[in-house]
Amino acid sequence: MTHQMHPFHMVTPSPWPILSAMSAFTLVSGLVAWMHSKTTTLMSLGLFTTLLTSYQWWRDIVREGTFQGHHTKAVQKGLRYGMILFISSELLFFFGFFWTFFFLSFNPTHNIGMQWPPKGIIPLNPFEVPLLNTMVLLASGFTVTWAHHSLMEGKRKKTIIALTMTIVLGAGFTSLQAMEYYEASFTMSDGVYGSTFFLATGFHGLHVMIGTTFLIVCLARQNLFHFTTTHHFGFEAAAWYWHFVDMVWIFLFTSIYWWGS
Amino acid sequence: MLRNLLTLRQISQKAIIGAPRRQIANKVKEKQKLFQEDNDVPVYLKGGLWDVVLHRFTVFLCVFVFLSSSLNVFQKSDKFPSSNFIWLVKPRTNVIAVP
Repeated sequence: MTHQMHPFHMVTPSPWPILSAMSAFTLVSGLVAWMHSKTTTLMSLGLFTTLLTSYQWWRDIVREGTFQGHHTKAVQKGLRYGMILFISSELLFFFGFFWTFFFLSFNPTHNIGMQWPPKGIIPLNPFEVPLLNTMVLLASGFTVTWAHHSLMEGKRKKTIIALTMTIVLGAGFTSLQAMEYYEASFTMSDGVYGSTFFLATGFHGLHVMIGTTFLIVCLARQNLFHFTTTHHFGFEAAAWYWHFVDMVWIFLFTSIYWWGS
Repeated sequence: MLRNLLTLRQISQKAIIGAPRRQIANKVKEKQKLFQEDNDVPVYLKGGLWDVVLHRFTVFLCVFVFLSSSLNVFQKSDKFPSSNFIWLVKPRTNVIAVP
């Protein structure tokens, strides 16, 4: 057996990059097919294969790190840079939607009555469910930090409890937001207000679901003794992502819900 | 009233502590041994038979759906041969709109 004289991970050939690319292609072309012909077969198959390839790819990364010991300090540094760059790209993604919102709301045209909110739109009361959602996400930011500190102190049970509470709060946010969507008097088709509202909050909701899934995976790994007091980057990455999602909501709440009403 | 509340607290604590807890065993050492075995099996197949089954199913499904979606996209383009192959022999010229 050969031994390497450097701390980096020379990854072995894997089928998941090409297969996940094929799956992503199917997913997006299925999305287009759905918009044109009301059939969801291709999109559903694309989503299923994307989930299959993602699961197996991430499963392999856990194997390489936790079971094979490839995640040295140098490799971890790379993973940290990678996660920071990814979250930055997500930030820029939301920046576009906020730009759209501020451009439209600062320059209301005659079509919408030269006012914001546009004529005929009854916005949601920001101090009802949206404020509750803000409290829910802020509390979840607190519980995920509690989970992290418990993990670093080797307190297994407290880590599990705090992480579970974070997940419950995240799921609670999603449920409350779904109810708000149902109760709203306007839809995505209701002019620029509807478009910007549902696009920005909709993508945020999707990110909350992704973040909740990431935390659930961390909870499973914590239960399986994968994390140590000093080596738990998977958890840190999930916590970073969760704080990012929380910050985006704060911006959404203050600009679209509160100022925009 | 207070005595009832204190009794309730004691009972609930006993119920939580005394109840049989599902213990999850630490199998990390076994997994480390399995995945560090020097047998030239790639990491995506090293977990056992289930890995192989899932891998083969995923490959088959991904290739199939990719070809289906490619055909779908190709069909929507103007290159799809409906009844003749004239587009193969006729040279394409870029038509520039004249104002």
